[in-house]
Amino acid sequence: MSADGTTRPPHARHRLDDVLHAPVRFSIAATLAGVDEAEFALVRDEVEVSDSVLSKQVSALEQAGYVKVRKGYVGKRPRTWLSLTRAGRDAWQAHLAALRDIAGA
Amino acid sequence: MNDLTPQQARERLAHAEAATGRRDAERRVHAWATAGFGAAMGAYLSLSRATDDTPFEQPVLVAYTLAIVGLATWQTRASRAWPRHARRAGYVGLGVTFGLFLVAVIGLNIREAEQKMDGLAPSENPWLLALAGVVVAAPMLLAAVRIRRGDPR
Repeated sequence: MSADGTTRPPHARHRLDDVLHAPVRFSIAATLAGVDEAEFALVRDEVEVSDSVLSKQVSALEQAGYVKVRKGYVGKRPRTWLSLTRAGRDAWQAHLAALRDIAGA
Repeated sequence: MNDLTPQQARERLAHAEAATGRRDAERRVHAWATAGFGAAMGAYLSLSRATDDTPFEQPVLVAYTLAIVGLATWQTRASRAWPRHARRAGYVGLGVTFGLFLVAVIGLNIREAEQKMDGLAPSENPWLLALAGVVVAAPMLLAAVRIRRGDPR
């Protein structure tokens, strides 16, 4: 409640998603937002992190229900594909909306 | 604490926009592959009817099979991602092309049967076959254009 007695909406920073706020996870989500599915190696190259760092951050996103991990083969070579879940896309859009509000403040 | 200045928020938004839109190479691969599948199916329909009961029937089938397998292999290896909505556009195009392929085969078979019933030697009009091939290929060619352009839906 403000001084004049009206209820103000919470500041946009309270709507930022803690899971997506971390810089590496933000970059992973940004890369995956533009695709239906991407290979692990492509995300690693674009986010510019090591396999182990990406693996750890993807696990955090997976635990939050934001990223789906699929394993398979191309020929005889094993491949891992990453994609945003519906919940992950919703969270990403909400996070971007909060950023836009902050940017416009 | 998630404190960000407006400038930092703008930088993050710019980064997100750049990262999300960086899919031109993948769009090109999937668009060419989708167009190739459509062209192969359309060409196969026309050529298989035109070469029916000739020595070229088997080579046409072999060429078609090699083209499809080759395209699928190239598409899988040349691309490391499916751009947003590209997969769905490709599957919709494939579904409609496949449906039109079946309709065209049934239509051409009925036409052939009618010719036989009229006591005529079955023969296909080359222009009709070419038109059928183009119609069959069209949905996948349109899907390829959508994938290449990155239409939102």
